[in-house]
Amino acid sequence: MQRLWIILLAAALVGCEDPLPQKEFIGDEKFELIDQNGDAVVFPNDFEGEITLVGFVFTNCPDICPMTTHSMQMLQEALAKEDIEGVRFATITFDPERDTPEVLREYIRVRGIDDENWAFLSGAAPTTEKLMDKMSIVAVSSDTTVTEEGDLIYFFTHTDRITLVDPEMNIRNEYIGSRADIRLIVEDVKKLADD
Amino acid sequence: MKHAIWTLALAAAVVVGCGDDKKTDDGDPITETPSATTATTLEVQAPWMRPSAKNQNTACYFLLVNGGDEADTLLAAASELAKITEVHETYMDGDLMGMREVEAIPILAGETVEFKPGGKHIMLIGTLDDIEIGATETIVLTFARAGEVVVEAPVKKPEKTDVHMQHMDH
Repeated sequence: MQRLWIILLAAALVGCEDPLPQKEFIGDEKFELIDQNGDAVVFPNDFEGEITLVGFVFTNCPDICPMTTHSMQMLQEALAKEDIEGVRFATITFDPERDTPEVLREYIRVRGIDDENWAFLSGAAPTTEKLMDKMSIVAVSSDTTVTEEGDLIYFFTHTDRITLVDPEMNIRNEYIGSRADIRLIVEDVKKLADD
Repeated sequence: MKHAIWTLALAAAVVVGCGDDKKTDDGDPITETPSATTATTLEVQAPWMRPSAKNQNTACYFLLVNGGDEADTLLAAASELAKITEVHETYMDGDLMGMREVEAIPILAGETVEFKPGGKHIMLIGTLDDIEIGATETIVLTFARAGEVVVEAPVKKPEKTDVHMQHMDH
C-alpha cells in the first residue's frame, strides 16, 4: 500500500513539472517598434497570449542571418504541417538604421516568406539596443568595407539565436538560430501549447 | 550543367591557347604539354546562391574538388552581380558569429574544399539587381594554376543537404 502511494506521488510530481525549465519574464518593459508594413508594434505585449519564436538578424548579413531566417521558415512549415496553430514569428533587426520597413519588405519578398503570422521589426536604435540587452543579444560592428563609390559597408559579429517566448511573455528556451534543430523546437512549442 | 560549363571554360582556354602558337627562333612550332592538365582535375561542383533583393548582400556556395596530383589556390572571386565580390568565411568568436575576408584558399591535391552556409563562401556585397529564386547567376573564380573558372550558380533556398547542420567549421 505504501509503495502505491509513493508511485502515485511520483506520478503527480512528474505531472506538475514545468515542460520547459527556463522561465524569464520579459513583459516588464515595452518596446515600441515598427513592422514591415510601417505599423506600430509594441514588443512583447502585442504578442501576449500567443507562443512566439523570435529571431534577431540584419538584412545585410549574407550567411548566418539568412540561415536563421531559413530556420524560421522551416519552423513555420513544420508547425503548419503538424496543424499547430497560434504560433507567431518575430524577426527583429539589430541594424535598424539600414533595415527600414521597406528594406525588410524586400528581404521578405525575395525569399518568398509567408509573413501572415511573421512580423519583421525595426525601430529607433536606442530601443532595439535596449531590447537586445533585455534578450541577451549582442551585435558588434565589424568587418568594414568601402565600395569604389566610397559607400561604407559594415557587418556585425553577433549572437546567433532563436528564442521561444510563451503566451505569458516568458523566455522559455533559446536555440542556435542558424543550426536550429527544427524537430526539437517543434516539440518545445507542442509542450507549451499543451501546457 | 556544371560539367558542361567547365568543359566550355576549358574549351575557351584551349581556343585562346591555339590562337597564340609559339615558335622557335627558327620559326619552327613548339609543341607544349597543355597547361590545362591541372585545370581538368579541378572541379567546381554543386554551386548555388542565396536570393537577394537589390542593394542587399548574398552568398554563393559550392565544392572545390581537386582530383589531380597538384595543389591549387583560390585567389579571388569576381562577378557583375554586386558592387563587391569577395572570398569570405564565417567564424565563431565565443557565442558570437562573425565574417572575415580570406586572402587565399589552398586546395591540396586530392582534397575537396567545401564552401557552405556557416563556413567559407563567396560574398556578394551590394547586389546591383534582385537575385531571384529560380535564376542562374554567374561568378568567376580565379585560381593560381587553373586560372579563371566561370561558375553558373542556380539561385535557391538552401536544402537540408546544403545546410550541413552537423558539419559546421568556423
